[in-house]
Amino acid sequence: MKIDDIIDELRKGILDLAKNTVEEFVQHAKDDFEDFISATRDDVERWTIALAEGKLTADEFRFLLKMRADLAEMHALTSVGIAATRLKRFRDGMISLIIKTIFAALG
Amino acid sequence: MRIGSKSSLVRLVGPLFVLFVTACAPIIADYSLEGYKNATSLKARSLAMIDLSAEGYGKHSSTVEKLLVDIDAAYEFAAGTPNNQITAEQWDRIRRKDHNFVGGYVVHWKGLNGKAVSEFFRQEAKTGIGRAYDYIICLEVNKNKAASCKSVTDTSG
Repeated sequence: MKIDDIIDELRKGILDLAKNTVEEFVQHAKDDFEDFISATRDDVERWTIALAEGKLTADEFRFLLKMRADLAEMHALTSVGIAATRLKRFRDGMISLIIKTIFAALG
Repeated sequence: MRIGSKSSLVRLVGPLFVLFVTACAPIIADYSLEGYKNATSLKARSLAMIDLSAEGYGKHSSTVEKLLVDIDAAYEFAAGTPNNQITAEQWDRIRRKDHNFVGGYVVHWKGLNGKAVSEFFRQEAKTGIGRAYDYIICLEVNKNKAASCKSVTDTSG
């Protein structure tokens, strides 16, 4: 096998790997973000009504709003962490692909 | 160019060498069963603590203090694990008094001077604190296998 053939094979494999990794990550991140926004909208609406009805004090209302802001930070940290796990998985997959392709070429 | 010639070997071995060196560079900590257990068990205990706040703080102070110590221990475990800064930061937010998760909730409860926390507020705080733990759990699960946060937790956001 020519080295150019190996490189072509690797290029295709790595592109597929990158595509799958990115597509899956983007879909999960999008789903998780939409869930977060939807929950935030519902929560703030419910708390505002509860405040008006006297079920929540002003202090409690402020506490919950701050908690929601803290949750946004937790969400962001998790997203960054998950991106790092995907990068790590991509790197490991790429190494495995290169080794497999080269050993297959060497026979 | 065929494999076996000197130049083709250099073309192959060069990138491989770079790849193996890169492979040694840390990105994020590996999955930790202990980290996962810390998050799931302390989530359950934290939510149970919120139920206890249907009564005054004084009656349950020793239970709460023990929970806070165990959360501190979970933070120290995360912070002491190499390449685990993100998870450690999340635990820090759970425990700190200036963040409105467990640390902030206990400050609020204590501030009521022996009174119970109102039911509506308790339920809302319980949902929020549960979600905060779910983020830690979701990240830990993703260190092991790719998953959306929705699929690894029971809550919806």
